Formats: sequence, C-alpha cells, structure tokens
Amino acid sequence: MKNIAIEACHISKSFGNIAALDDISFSIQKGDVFGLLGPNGAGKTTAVRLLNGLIKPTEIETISILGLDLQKNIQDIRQRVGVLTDTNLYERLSAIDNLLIFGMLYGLSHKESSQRAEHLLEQFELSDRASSKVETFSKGMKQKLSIARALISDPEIVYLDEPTAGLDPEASHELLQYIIKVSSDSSKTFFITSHRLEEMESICDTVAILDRGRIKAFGSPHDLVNQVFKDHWVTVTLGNGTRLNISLLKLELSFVQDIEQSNNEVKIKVDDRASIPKLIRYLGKLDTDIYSIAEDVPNLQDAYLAIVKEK
Amino acid sequence: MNWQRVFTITRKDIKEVASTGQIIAPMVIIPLVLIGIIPAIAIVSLRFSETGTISLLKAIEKLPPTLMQQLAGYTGNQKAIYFITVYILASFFLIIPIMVSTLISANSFAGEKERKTLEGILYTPITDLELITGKVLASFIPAMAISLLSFFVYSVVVNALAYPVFMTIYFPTFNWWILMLWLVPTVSFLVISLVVLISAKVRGYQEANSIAGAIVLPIVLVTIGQVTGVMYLSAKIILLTGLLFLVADALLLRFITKSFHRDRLIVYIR
Ligand SMILES: Nc1ncnc2c1ncn2[C@@H]1O[C@H](COP(=O)(O)OP(=O)(O)O)[C@@H](O)[C@H]1O
Ligand SMILES: [Mg+2]
Repeated sequence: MKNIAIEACHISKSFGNIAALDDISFSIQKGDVFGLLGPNGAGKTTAVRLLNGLIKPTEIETISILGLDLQKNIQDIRQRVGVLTDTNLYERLSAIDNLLIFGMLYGLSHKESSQRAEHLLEQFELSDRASSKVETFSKGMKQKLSIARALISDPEIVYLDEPTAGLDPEASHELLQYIIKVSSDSSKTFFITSHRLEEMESICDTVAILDRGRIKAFGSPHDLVNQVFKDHWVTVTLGNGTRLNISLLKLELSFVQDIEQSNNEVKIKVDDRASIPKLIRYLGKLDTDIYSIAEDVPNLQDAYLAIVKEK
Repeated sequence: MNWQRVFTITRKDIKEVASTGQIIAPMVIIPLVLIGIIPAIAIVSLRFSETGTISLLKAIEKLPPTLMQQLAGYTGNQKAIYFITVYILASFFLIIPIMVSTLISANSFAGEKERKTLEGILYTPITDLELITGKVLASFIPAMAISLLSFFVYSVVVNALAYPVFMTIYFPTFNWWILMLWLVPTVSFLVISLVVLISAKVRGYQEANSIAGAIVLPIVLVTIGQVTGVMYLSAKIILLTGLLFLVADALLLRFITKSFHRDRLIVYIR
C-alpha cells in the first residue's frame, strides 16, 4: 500500500447520457511513469480531472492519492501534485511571471519560487526568454513552459495530459526529450496521457489502454504486447521468383503451425519462441535464395490498434 | 485564509489588466471628464452667468428645508456653486468606482474562461474563498485608488476655481469624507461581488459585460438619484447606510463562496 501513488476503484463518470468513464479501476506505483493511452474522446482528460477532484465522479468506490482519500484530503493532495491539462498560460505575462504565480499559489515564498522558476527555465532552455511575454512564444515553447509550470512546486505526482498535442513532429520530438529527462527522476510519479503510441512505448513503465471510457488492457508495454499477440511469426524474404516448398516444410518441422506465402515473402507461425533458432537452422541448409529471416516483433502501437479496433 | 495566495491572484489580475489598453483607456478618460472637465465648466459658467445662477437658485428653493438651512449663510452665487459641487456632483464619485470595477471584474472569471487559463489555477491548493477574494480585490483596489485620486483632483479643481467666490477652502465637507472613506468602498464592494458572481456563471467576457451592464446600470441610476439626497442628510445616516451595504457585502460574499463549484468553471469545448 505504501508504494502506491494513485489508486482508483470502480470510477464512473457520465455527462448526461455519455459515459465518459465506465467503471475503471487501476493502481500506479510510486516512481512509475504511467501512460494512459487512448483515442480522442476516450476519457483521458476526464480521468485526469477526476483524479484531481476538479469534477466529481457519478459513481465511486475510492480514489486514493499518495495514500490519502481524495475527497477528504483534497487540499493536502493538491499541494503535492502538479498538473498540465489542455489549458493556456497567461499570454500577456512573462514566462517567469507565469511560473512565479504558480509557485506562490503552491505556497512557496517569492524567493523559493524565483529559484525554482529559474532552475526550470534553465532545464527547459528558456532562460534567455524568461522575461518575454508568453504570447511571443512558439507552440513548442509554450508547451515546455506549461510542463515547467506543472513542476514548479517539486510535486510527488505530475500529470501531463497530451503534452505533445498540436505540436509538429520536430517540436514533439524535442519536447519528448525533455519529458524523458524530467521523468527519469525516480522520486516522482508521472501520469501521462497520449494518443501517440510510438512516443509512449519508450517512456512508460506501465500503460493502460482506454477506449470509450473503459480500460481494455493494463501492464508494462512488453506484457501488454504479449497479452495481445500470443503467436510467434517469422518472416522470410526470398529472391525474386523463388518459392519455398511449403508442404515439405510442414511435414519435416512439427513446430510449424501455419504458413502464409505471398510474392517473395513467407510468414511462418511457430509454436514457441524457442523454436525460431531451429527454423533458421533448417532454412539455412536449404538450396533456396533467402535474403532475410526475421522474427515479427509487434510493438505497443500494433497492440493498441488491435485492442482499439476490436469491438 | 492564506493571504499570499489571495494577493498572488490579485497581483496577477491587475498586471494582466494593466497590459491591455482596451480597459485602461476608459479607466483614465471617464474619471478625467467627470471630475475635471464637468465641474470646471459648471463652476466657471455659474461664476459668470447671472441667469444660470438665478434659475438654479429657484430650483434649490423647492428642495427640503434641511438643505436650505445648510446653505443659509451663503450668498446667491456661493449657494449655486456649493449646491452643484457638494451635492449634485457627489454621484460621480459612485459612478467612477462602479465603472472601473465593472470593467475589471466582468473580465475576472469570464476572461480566464475565455482564454482557457482558469483550469490551471483550479489544480493548485488555492481555496474557493481565496480565489474569489483575490478576484474581488483585483477590482476593488484599482477602483478605490482611482476614486481617491479623483477625490484629490476634484478637491483641488473645485477649491481653485471657486476661490474667487468663497475666498476660503470650503471643500471637502465632513460628509464628503464619510462618502469617500465609508460609502464608496462598501457600495463598490457590493457591485464588484455581484459582477464577479456573474462573471463566474457566464461563458465569456462579452456576455459578462452585457449582463453586468444590465444589472449595474440600474444601480448606477438609482445611486445618482439617491446620493444628492444622502449628502445633505446627517453624517449618522450616511454611516448607517454604509453599514447596511457592509452587511450586504458580507452576505453576498458568503453566498458566492457557497454557490461556487469548480467543475462549472471548466470550459468544455467540443
Ligand atoms: N464537460 C463535459 N460535458 C459533456 N461531455 C463531456 C465533457 N467532458 C468530456 N465530455 C465527453 O466525454 C468523453 C471523454 O472526453 P475526454 O475525457 O475529453 O476525452 P479525451 O481526453 O480522451 O480526448 C467525450 O465523449 C466527451 O465528449
Ligand atoms: Mg483530452
């Protein structure tokens, strides 16, 4: 229990007759980087707002944050948490003022706030623009500043709701490097939502896939992929016009379960990952032109698409 | 109540307002016209126009006898100027803070909702009461500052222009001190709280402004009607009126805090 940062049991939230969240439960370890992944409208922002007591659930068993009951200790919890959702900075104020305001709202003294703000601006390479008005910033710079703002009070839990939304690939890649940098601080728990899977796989220790208000899968990206893809496939690329003798292969190798041949590519399904070396040895002895043999390694995105597509 | 959080909100709001000319311009120009130009024209024309003074005196004679008693020792010209500067123009000093504060407080929550900046604040440990108080003060402080500055300028203008008539400094009278230091703050606070309440309920600045106008305008008209009357009442009654406003302020602030719901402040954009 002591090591759990966020725990939610049986939470539902409806807006009129739209069920934004439908009976979700999960728990997140302290120090983890957790990714809540799902398409637009899945309920990610609703989850962040619920976990921070900004909106009330329609049904609830418990939400406990850092071991405290959310409803009873909302003030204490807010003190220990930093949040970035799809909100704007104060455009007419300077970058440093934006950070100072939040530092002081978290109860830091003016001096402490300034020190933290300067440190964060440096970390996010915004120091030279510290006193420029935010309205002069690019979208990527604003997003960096928003993350810095969520970190101003040195919180134990940091929520980042779609931090890369609306950024071009380059800015998005850059921002991700900063997120990796700050989230490697293992004393903080990160709760990041995204619909960009390729970005999240390398950052997250644990992910949940949320679709139409329901959690469809939960676990480490690796476990999750294994949950979805239980079969092992190997792809063999052949020289032009070359074919494999499929029936012979099936006959001689008992561990081969299925074969799909198309043009110069053959996909072979084996019973166990341990059978792959045996398959490769066998193929190596053949008199056929083989250009490559590769294990099909599905990634988080494949798993996500498979989960989100199924009804 | 954590005052650091309250004043952080107040300072931020004032800084934001100060960075927009749109609001600053009317806040400077209107008081300047009301307390500089209009009284100057009134005093100068009464000094040099006999017919104006005579017709004004005729009008004063129809007013309650208490007023006549207060004007008893003065000459005709003095009576006319005194009547205009001490009684009639007093209403300007309620119009100024009400106008200034409405301009700012309509922007308060509604402006933040419109620019999608409020949600970030709602995640911090600030309490509802601290947030509301911070927002109210962000209108109250500039409104009072402009009022007191206007009061000072008005006193100088009135005494300087009317000096040849009175040959003494007759302004401000005792009741004016009570007006400025007691009635103006309590009335302004009430108006601001009302507008902040509206601002928290509506979607955007324009909407807040027009609803605020619909509520504030009648209040302004009623005050203009009443202030002249109040000014020649006894100091005790003015003090008591202010006390009533103070009670109303407290009740309204309590109501706002009770009826405040963070979830309704989040803008939902499809
Ligand atoms: N305040 C609200 N009022 C009505 N419907 C809402 C509100 N907030 C969210 N929804 C609905 O709830 C669902 C989930 O929304 P959201 O949590 O914003 O999804 P995501 O962040 O994953 O894109 C959507 O169908 C959305 O239309
Ligand atoms: Mg969202």
